Amino acid sequence: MPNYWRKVFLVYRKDLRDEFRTFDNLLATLVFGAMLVFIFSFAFQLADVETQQAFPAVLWVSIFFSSMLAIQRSFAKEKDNGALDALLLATGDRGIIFLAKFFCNLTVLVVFEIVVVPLLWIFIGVNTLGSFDILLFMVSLLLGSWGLAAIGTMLNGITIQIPSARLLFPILMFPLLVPLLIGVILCSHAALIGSRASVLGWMYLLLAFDLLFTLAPLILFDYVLEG
Amino acid sequence: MRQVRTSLLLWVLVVLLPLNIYIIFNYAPVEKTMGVVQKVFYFHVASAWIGLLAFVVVFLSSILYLWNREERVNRLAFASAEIGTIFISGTLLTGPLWAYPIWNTWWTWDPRLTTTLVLWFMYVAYIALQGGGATETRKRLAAVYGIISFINVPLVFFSARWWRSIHPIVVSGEGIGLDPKMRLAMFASLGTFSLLYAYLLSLRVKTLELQERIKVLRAEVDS
Amino acid sequence: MATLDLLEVNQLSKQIGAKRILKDVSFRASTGDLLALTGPNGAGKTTLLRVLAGLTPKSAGVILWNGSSHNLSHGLIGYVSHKPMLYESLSVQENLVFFGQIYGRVLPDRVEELLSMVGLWLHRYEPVGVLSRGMQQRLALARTLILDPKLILYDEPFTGLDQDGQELLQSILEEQRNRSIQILITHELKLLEGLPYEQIRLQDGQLVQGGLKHA
Repeated sequence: MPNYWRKVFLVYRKDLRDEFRTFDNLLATLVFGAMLVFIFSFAFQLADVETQQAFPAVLWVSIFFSSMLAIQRSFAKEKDNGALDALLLATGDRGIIFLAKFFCNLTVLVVFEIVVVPLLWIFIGVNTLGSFDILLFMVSLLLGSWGLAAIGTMLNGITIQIPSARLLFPILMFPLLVPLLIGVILCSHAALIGSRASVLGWMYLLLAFDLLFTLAPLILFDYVLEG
Repeated sequence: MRQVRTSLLLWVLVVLLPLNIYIIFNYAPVEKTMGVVQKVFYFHVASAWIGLLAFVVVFLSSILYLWNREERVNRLAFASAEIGTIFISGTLLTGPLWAYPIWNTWWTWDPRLTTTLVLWFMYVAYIALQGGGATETRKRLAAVYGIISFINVPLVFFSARWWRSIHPIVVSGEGIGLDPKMRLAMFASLGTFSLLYAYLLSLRVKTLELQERIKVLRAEVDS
Repeated sequence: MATLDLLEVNQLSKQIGAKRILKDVSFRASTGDLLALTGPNGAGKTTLLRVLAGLTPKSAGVILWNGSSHNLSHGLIGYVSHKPMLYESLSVQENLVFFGQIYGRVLPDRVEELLSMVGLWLHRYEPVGVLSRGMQQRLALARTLILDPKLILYDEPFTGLDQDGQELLQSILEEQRNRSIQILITHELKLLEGLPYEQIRLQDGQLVQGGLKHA
């Protein structure tokens, strides 16, 4: 078992190194996210909408769309010159590859959120009147990113197998994300008004959702990367 | 043998479909408050039922396909997804026809409506994944997607319901309190639609099989 | 010094859809053997190697390593494809160290030795993406050797190699005979001249030359 996690860590480190070295992907995601946040806040401002209320929705729609960009390439670098085969041979377990890619995507999403969430906060001018539950907010961000990274990694493993189907990635991904979307928006909304007790059940639901979509790929990934 | 079964189904349907229409419009009474628009329910509910049933078939045959890799199992999954999409589309189209006069809105985020819509999206995604050229890779991956998206259905339903239970429920489709004659019409619809689904499914599976066969024969002729 | 390993393949079949890619392929090889796998395009050569490597599941038949179907673990198999199978954004050394670490073999001396052997020591800090095709292929050879494989599968390894590269590969083939079973797909048998090899020929998924016959 320690050997298993050692391999996960090695592949994770390799992916992360690649991610930060070919900076295009991370940079594109960050800039895209910043632009989304800007466009949303600005558009709401123009339409004279009460943006405070819209904050959780704008936040998550921005994260969902940006995550497409962030995750889209996680298997491309494996497939480009056949490295995936070498990696499969070396690790001998497809679950290791899934977990490593999942942690890498999660890391990228967290980095992305560290930059973009404060930006949105400022643009919208959130005024929480002291009732802001920062812990709940952080936890909902983490639970949301976890689910996104897990489903995204799984589906990216699927779409990368079919060269002409790479564009299907968001189409496959969004329907699966609906329960997550409901949960995280309600949780981050509750965080703003400081009512943690009302969403405790949702946190468990999110946790269950995340666990399910992290464990199911561990079983199904053998079929995904069968080649 | 299967030929016989399929054409037998056709003849049964030739009798049952008009009979079902007759039961819906002439036998079942007109609903007092909603009026004749309530008749759409018999089609609406039956289509939704088929949509869900078809997805169960996709799910089970996807698992079976990953297990035994038999072409006919995959054909069953794909055909079921296609037919399910048509019925779900029917549900989504007939719903607003009823909802607008009764609820005074075309759409509401009721858990059932939300789930049906998400189901439709997942069906379309499944077909897009598998449909673009039937390679082994696509079949295998579509099977994986068929499994995870089915697991997702109850999650969508319960999260949508839970969300709505926090907020007050504005409208509810429940509590119609069906008249026995209406109930009979509803069951007649469910039965007839199930047979229709079985017929279309066997027809579509056959078509897909013939397509495969043509491809094999063409390759043989070429070589 | 080296142990003698035995690879037995019995009635191996691979079916994709209605197509039978491999039909009852049987052969046997032991340490020191170099099998030259030949055959026309589309005969199933690459599929055979991928099935042996465990990258593609078999449909029927058995693959035995020293008498057991479970012994042939991934840590024993080296695979050289006609694709380099490397990470373009990582440097030569990072690529090699990464694979070495996954296999649990992190010896700095070994990395230097292998890189010098394939002539890439001076290029060790360059990203793989800027290297030429032949140099990438050399690194792929080093990546394969770092795990000290007991079974090495080569899929048209001479492709893209220059004169020196070909000689390097020939010397690797010669050297590895002491410790591993080697199976190599090639269309140019003359490149194997001077090496004691046995030819097995695949046609339409069946072994038509070499291998074992069965009723």
